[in-house]
Amino acid sequence: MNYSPKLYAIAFCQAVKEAKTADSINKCIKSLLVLVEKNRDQKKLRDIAFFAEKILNKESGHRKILVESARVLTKENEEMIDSFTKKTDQVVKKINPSLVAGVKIVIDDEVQIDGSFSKKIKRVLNTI
Amino acid sequence: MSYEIIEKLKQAIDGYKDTEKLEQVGRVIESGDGIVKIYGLKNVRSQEVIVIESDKGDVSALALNLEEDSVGALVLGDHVGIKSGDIVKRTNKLLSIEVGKSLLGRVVSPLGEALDGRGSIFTKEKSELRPLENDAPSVLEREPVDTPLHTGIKTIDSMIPIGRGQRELIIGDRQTGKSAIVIDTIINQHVDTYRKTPVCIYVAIGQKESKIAKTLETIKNAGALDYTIIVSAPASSPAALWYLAPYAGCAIGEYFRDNGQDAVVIYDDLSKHAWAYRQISLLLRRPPGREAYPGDIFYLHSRLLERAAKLSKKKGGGSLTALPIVETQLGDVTAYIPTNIISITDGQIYLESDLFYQGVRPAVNVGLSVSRVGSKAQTPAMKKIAGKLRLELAQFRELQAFIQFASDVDDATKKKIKRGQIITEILKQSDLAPMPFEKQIIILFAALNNYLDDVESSELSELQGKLVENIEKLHDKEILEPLRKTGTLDKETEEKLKAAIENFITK
Repeated sequence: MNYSPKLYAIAFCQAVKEAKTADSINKCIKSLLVLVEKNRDQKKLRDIAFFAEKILNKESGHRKILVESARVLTKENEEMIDSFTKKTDQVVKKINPSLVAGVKIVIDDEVQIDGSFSKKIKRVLNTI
Repeated sequence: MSYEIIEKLKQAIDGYKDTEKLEQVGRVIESGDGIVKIYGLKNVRSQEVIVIESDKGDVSALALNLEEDSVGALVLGDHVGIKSGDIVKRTNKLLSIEVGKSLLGRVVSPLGEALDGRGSIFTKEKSELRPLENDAPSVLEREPVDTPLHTGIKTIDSMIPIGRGQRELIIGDRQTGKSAIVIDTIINQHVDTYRKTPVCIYVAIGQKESKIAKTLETIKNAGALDYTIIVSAPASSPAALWYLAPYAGCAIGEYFRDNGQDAVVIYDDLSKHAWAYRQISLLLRRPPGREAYPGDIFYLHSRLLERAAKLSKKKGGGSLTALPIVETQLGDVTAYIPTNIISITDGQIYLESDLFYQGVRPAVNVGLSVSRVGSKAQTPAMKKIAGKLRLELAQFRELQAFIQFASDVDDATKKKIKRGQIITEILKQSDLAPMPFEKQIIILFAALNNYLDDVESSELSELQGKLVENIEKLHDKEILEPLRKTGTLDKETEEKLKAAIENFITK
C-alpha cells in the first residue's frame, strides 16, 4: 500500500495526541520510523516531518515564525520582534547575507512580509 | 549610453513607493519533470502565474491543480534549479500575452518572447495584455459565416469552401501535405486582391526547429511575412509550452478579431498538443481515461476552437478562422483525438496517403472532406461554376471502381470516365503555387463546359497554364478584373469568357 506523507503525518499526530508520557511519545516516533522503513518510504520522511509539524502547530495554535536578516539583529530589533510574537510561537532566526539589508519574515510558510533591500533593488530594476 | 541608464535608474527610484504588504506564499514540496507541488498558496486561482524563488533566480509557473492543501503547478521556465523548500509567491495575475500590431512579421514563444533575434517586440507601438484562456464569444455576439477565405487551392475553393470565422480541420497521415495546404493559404492571402487581407497566425507545436525555420523562410520569400505571426513551441521546448502555444496563438488572433480585422489561426498540430496535455496531466496525477488522455481532453480543444468566430457588426465585424491540423496513424480517423476534433469543427479536409502516392496532389479525398458552412461562404462565381463538380467526381469514382471488373463499357460511360480524368488532372496543383480564385474559375469553366474533352491528360497541366496566361494577357480588364472585383460571373463576362476559351482552343 502506498501511503502519502500527509497520511503518515495524520496517523502519527493522532498517536502522539493520545500518548501521555515522554516514553510513549518516543515509542510513537520509533513505530513511525519502523513503519516507514518497512514500507520503504524513507524518501518521504522529510515531507512527513513537514506535515506533522503543520498539523501539531495547527492543533496547538502555535505559529512558526522565520525571521531572516542580513546581519545579526540588534537588541532593539529583537525586542520589537518579541513584542509581535506570542510566547507559544516558535521563532526561528536566520542570517541571510543575500538580503543585503532589512528583514524578511515568514509565518507558517504561508504568509510573508519581505522588507529586504535585495527585493527593493529587484523591484526598481524591474521597472526600468 | 551610460547617462541614459543612470537617468532611467533615477526615474525608477523617484517613482518607487515603499509599501511592503503581506504576501501569500507557499513552499515547494515536490519537483520534477517540469511539475511542482506546492504547500500553501491557499487562495491561488487556477491559471494564475506564480513565482518560484529558486537558487538560479525567479522561475514562473502556472497553477493548474488546486487541491485541499497543495497546488500542482506547471513550470514555465527552467525547472532544473527548483528544489524542495523553495518559496513560491502569488502574482495575482492570470497567464497573459502581450499583443499588438508590432507582432506582425515576428516569431514569438507562447509566452510572447521574441525568438527571431530582432530585439524586443513592443518599443513604440501600443500593446495590451490578453489572457491565454478567454471566453468564446456568445451567440448574440456572433454572425453567420458568409465571407469566403480563399486558399488558392482549386480543390478546396471549389468543393470545400472555407469561410471567415469557420473552423476547418485538416486531417491526414504524416507526409500527406497538411502543412503545405496551410502555407499555401497564408501565401494566397496577399494575391487575393479586393478582399481584406487577414492576419495569419501560424502556431507550430512540437515541430523540429529546422522545419519551423524552413516555413518562416518560405513565408518570407513569398512576401507573406508582413501579415503573418509565428508562434513557436519547438520539439526541444518543454511540454508546458506545447500546451500553451495554441492558446497564445488564439489570444493574438482574438486581438485582431476584436479590433474588427480578420485573422486566421493555424494550429500545426493538435495531436501533439493533446500529447503534451496528456503528459502534463499524468505528471499531475490526474486519472487517465481512453488512450491515457485525461477526462477533459475534449474540453481542452472545444474551448480553444470555440473562440474562432465571425463577430456581429455591433462587435466590429471581425473574424477569427481556425485551421487545426490533426495527424492520423495509418489513416485511422476513428482514433480518440481525430473524432473529437472532427465533431468540434465545421468540416474537415481529409488527405489520403494513397492519393498522394498516386500523384494526386493536394491529396484531398473529396468524398470524405466536407465544409459544413457550405456554399454560403463561397464566392458566387465559384458557386455557379463548381456546383456540379463534386457530383461529376463522385460519379467518376464510382465508375472507376466498376470498370475494374467490366471489360466492355459503352461510349457514354467512357465519356464520363474521360471527363473524370480531366477533372482530376486539372485539380492537381503543386505546393507553394496557390492560384487566385478568378484564374481557378477560368480553368474550371473550361473543364466543366467540355472545352478540354479532346485534350490528352498529359497535356492538361501545360494547357491550363497557357490558357490562364492567354486570358491574363489579352482579356484581363474584361474578364479577370470584373471577376476579381465583384466575385460574380454575369452573363456578359460569361460570354466573353466562352469566346476567349473557344478562341484559345481553336488556335
